[in-house]
Order: sequence, then C-alpha cells, then structure tokens
Amino acid sequence: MISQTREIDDQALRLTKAISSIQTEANHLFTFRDVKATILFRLDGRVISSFYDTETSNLILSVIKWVKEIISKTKEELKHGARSIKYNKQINQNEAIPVYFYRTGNSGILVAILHSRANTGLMEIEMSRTAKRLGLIIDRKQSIGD
Amino acid sequence: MKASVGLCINHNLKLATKNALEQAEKELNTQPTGILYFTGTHPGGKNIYSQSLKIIKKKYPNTPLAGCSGIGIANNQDYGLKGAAIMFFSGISVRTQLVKRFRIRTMAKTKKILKKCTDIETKELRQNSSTSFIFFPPGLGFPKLMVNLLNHRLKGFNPFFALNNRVWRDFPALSRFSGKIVNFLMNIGGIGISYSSAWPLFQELYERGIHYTGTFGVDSISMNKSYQFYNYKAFKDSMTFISLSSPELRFMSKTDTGATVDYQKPFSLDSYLDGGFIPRINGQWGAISLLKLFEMEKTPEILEECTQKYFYYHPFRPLCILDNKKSQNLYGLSINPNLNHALITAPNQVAKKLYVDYKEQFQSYICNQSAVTIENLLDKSLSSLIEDNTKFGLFFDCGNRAMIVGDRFQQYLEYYKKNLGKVPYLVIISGGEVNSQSFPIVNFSLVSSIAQQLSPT
Repeated sequence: MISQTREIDDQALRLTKAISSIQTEANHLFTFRDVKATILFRLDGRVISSFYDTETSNLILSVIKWVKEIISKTKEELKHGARSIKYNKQINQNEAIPVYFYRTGNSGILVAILHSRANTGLMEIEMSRTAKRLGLIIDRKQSIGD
Repeated sequence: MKASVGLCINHNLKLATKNALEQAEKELNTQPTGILYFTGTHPGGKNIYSQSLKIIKKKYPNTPLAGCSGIGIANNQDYGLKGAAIMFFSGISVRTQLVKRFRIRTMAKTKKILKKCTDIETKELRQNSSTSFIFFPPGLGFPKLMVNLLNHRLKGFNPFFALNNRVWRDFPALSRFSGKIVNFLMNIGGIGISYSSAWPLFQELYERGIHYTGTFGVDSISMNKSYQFYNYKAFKDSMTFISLSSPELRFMSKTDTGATVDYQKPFSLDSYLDGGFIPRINGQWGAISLLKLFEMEKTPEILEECTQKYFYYHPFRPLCILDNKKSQNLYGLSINPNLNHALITAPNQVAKKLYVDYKEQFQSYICNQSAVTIENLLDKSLSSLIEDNTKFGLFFDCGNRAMIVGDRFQQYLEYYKKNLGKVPYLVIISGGEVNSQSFPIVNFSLVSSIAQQLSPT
C-alpha cells in the first residue's frame, strides 16, 4: 500500500516538474525584448501556458484572437511535416506583426508573436531551440501520464 | 594540459553562470590556470555582467579571466542567445591584459598593446613555448540616434535624419557637406564600424607574424556598445586580451567564408563617409543604385523583408569586392529602407581604398551564402583542422550568418558536433572575427582556432 502511494507521489512529482519546466522554457522566450507574447497550444486548440505583456495587450489580444481562429488550420499544416510557419499579421496600414507557429513534440504548437521591428533572423534561432526543448518536455510529460 | 567547457542557456545570467561553472569544474577536476568567459546579450548593462563575474571570483579569486559578450553561444550540448559559457584551462600559462577606452586614442593604445604582446612572446619563446593571443576588441558602436533612425524611431530632431531630407538629396554638394558634419560627429570617440579602429593593430600583428584570433563583442539589443571582461570585472568598449602559452601545444587557426560567387557587376563609389555610409554609387543615390546592382528595383518588398530579418540594416546579399575571383574577401553592402544611403560593413580602410579607385569602375562579385554553403564550409574547414591530438577548439562565428541560417541553426551546429566528437569546444556568435592567418579583416566569416598536443620527442 505504502509503495503504491509512493509511486503515485513520484508520478505527481515528475508531472509537476515537467509542467514547471514547460513554464520556465516558455517564459525564457518571453524575456526577449523582441517577443511580445508566447502561447503554447495543445493540438486540440486548448492553451497550456501563455505569456504576454499586460501593458500593451490591447493590440496583442486581437492578434491572439486571430491566432486562436487559425490554429486548427496551422495544426493540419504542422501535422504534415512543416517544422514552422510564419505569418505577417497586418495590424494597421504601416505595421505588420510577425507571428511564428512551431511544432513542439507530438502534441503541441508554440506560437510566438514578435515585435513588428523584431530581428526575426536572430529570434528564429531562439524560437526553434525553445520549440525543440518544449517538444522533448511535453513528450516526456505525456509518457508519465497526462 | 586539459581544457573543459560549461554552458548554460538561461535569461538569468547569474544562474546560467553558476550552472556553467559547475559543469566546467566537474569536467576539469583540477585547479584552472586560466578562464575564458562568454555571455549572450543581456539587458541591464554592465552591472548584470559584473554581478555574474563575482560568482566566478568567489571560487577562483586569482585566476586570470578574459572574455566578452556576444550575440549567442553554443557547444555540443546546447545553444542560445542568452546565457553563459565558460572554458577552463589547466597546465598552460595564461596572462590577461586590459586597455581601457581603446577607440579614443587608437594609435597610442595600439603601440602599447603591440609592446605587451611582443614582450610576452619573447619571454615565452625563451622557454620554448608557443603563444597564441585571443583579442576582445570593442564591437559595433553606432550612435544611439543612428540606431533609432535605422529602426525608424525618433523621426524628428535627428541629425542623421537631416541627411534623408529632399534638399540634401537633390543637391549632391550639400549632401557631402552635411555628410562631413555627420562624419565629424561619428568620429568623436571613434564610433562606427568596429573593425576600423582595430585595423592598425591587427595589421601590425599580422606583419610581425604573431599568432592571434579575436572576436568583437557586440550588444545585439542596443547595437551601440559592447562589454569585455577582464579579471572579474566588466568594461564597456574596452580591449582585453588573453595569451595562452605552452611548450606542449601547437595553436592553429583559419578563416573561412564559404561563399560562392554568382556573377560580377562593375560599380563605382562616388563618395564615402566614415562609419560605413555610402551616399552615392554609380552617380546615383546609394540605395537606388544598389537596388539596380542587385536587379531588385522592381521588387522592393523583398528588401523590406530582408531588412526586417536582419535588424533593419543588414545586407540581403554579401558582396565580394576584391579584384581577384579566388580571394574570398566578403563585405556586406546593404540598404536601409529608411535611409537613402547604402551601408557597407567594411573597415574604413577598405572602403576608402574603393573610393579612391572609383574611376576605374570597381569589379564586384555578388556572392551567395546559404545553409548549404555554410555546411560545406564547416566540413571542409573542420576536417582539415581536427586531428586526434586536438585539445580544445574555439570558434568565432559571424552573427549575420547565424541570422541567415535562422531556423536551421540547430542542424548547422550538428556539423560541429559530428566533426569535433569529444573535443571540448565553444562556438561564439559574434559581431566580427579576426585571425592572424588572413588579413584584411572580412565579414561573414568563421574563425576556427584549435590547440593540438605536440607529440613528445
């Protein structure tokens, strides 16, 4: 009986660790000045975690809404082999916001909304790294038991 | 002789340093005789770097340390734009030096550094040791106003913005006059293209046959300052260097660009300003002329896309501007949509030479760099350098190339891993690379430097 409880505790502990490391990784990406928001979706469209600046959220919220609308479409594309998809979301006449969708493991999509003047060349390096690491963590979490 | 590396990617620099230090210690197992410390770009200025250096100081208060902040760091485990990387050496003699405010009195400081370098080398030669220097000069330092202009911020009240005014544009004579004022402002403190101030030093070192490599620190957030580390303190816009000497080691280095020449186009610079500005090419406003040169005048949206990708400044294609097709001396020529000038990322010494020779229509070779050419380069470059007796490797990789690789950076790093195997190594994505085997200084290059154990005779 005791060993069974310990097993459940171990599993819960590992699960909590996995969830906290997901949060840490997504937050790491959000610390970049060029990143306005990071959202981690499950393949069914549910949000696992999200970070966005509350001060400039008005504009970002509308982009997030748009992201939620097209997530099912991008999901299909990502399922069939595309590693990442980039959109430029026009928000007004002069400004377009780069939005990146990355596949993370078997069951997640990482969305990064960047600043309109972000250095996307450099950010791609960091975003692809975060997507890969998140993928590893999420897959491990799934094997523990979702 | 033993070397070990530690690397941790984290936005918290203190935590990253702590973890990297633990990793390096674990691998080395003995007291280090010298430390190299590199970081990514962290917001918060000098204090952030100083605080993290204190963590290393607590454990090794008397070990010489040098390094700089770069765009990114990588080793065989991980890579990223924020974090810390440490390399420990044991069993070799290590010395570090600091020269403050290097850009202000370049010539005097250059002489001082040269004297120190020759002193160290002769001293070591007496003991039959070979010496290699690693330099960390101040990197890209555009004035804040100019960075704002490139980024399309602060439109009003900007002296650089005046250059883009129609009055100046329509009258070339006025443009040159205003250019001279800007030029004067730019040269207070020797700011601008980073290589220009360090050029005389590296030329002298090259001519004297002293072995060196070096990387220019850069702050990819502000683009107008860089940080160097010297014995547990961080300095802004200074020059630090470290000398590694050992009788058992042989130091080797190499510069590669991996560019393939596409086609050639003649062009002439009609005027040139210090700090990389080229107002006029082929008798036309720089940006317009360059668009024609690249045959992109009908597709300006590609330019928009590329300038966005590479910090509103960066070249969409490198341009090879030496008269010899075999030489791979690349310099980036770029257009900024907010500026009618063209920008060249060549040292003033190279650009001025082009301007002087402009009457004889300079031949340019437009080059192509892609992930494929870069991977080929890595295979070629590393396989010729790495052998069984390789002790450690240091690679200074151009930040612009990293941007070009972008999403595929991870695959690109796999090539390092494949070629280097168990050799401890660090890759520093930097804002400029130099090497004693090749001069003049070029853009878009990879400087590989390794140390090999000499077999006992």
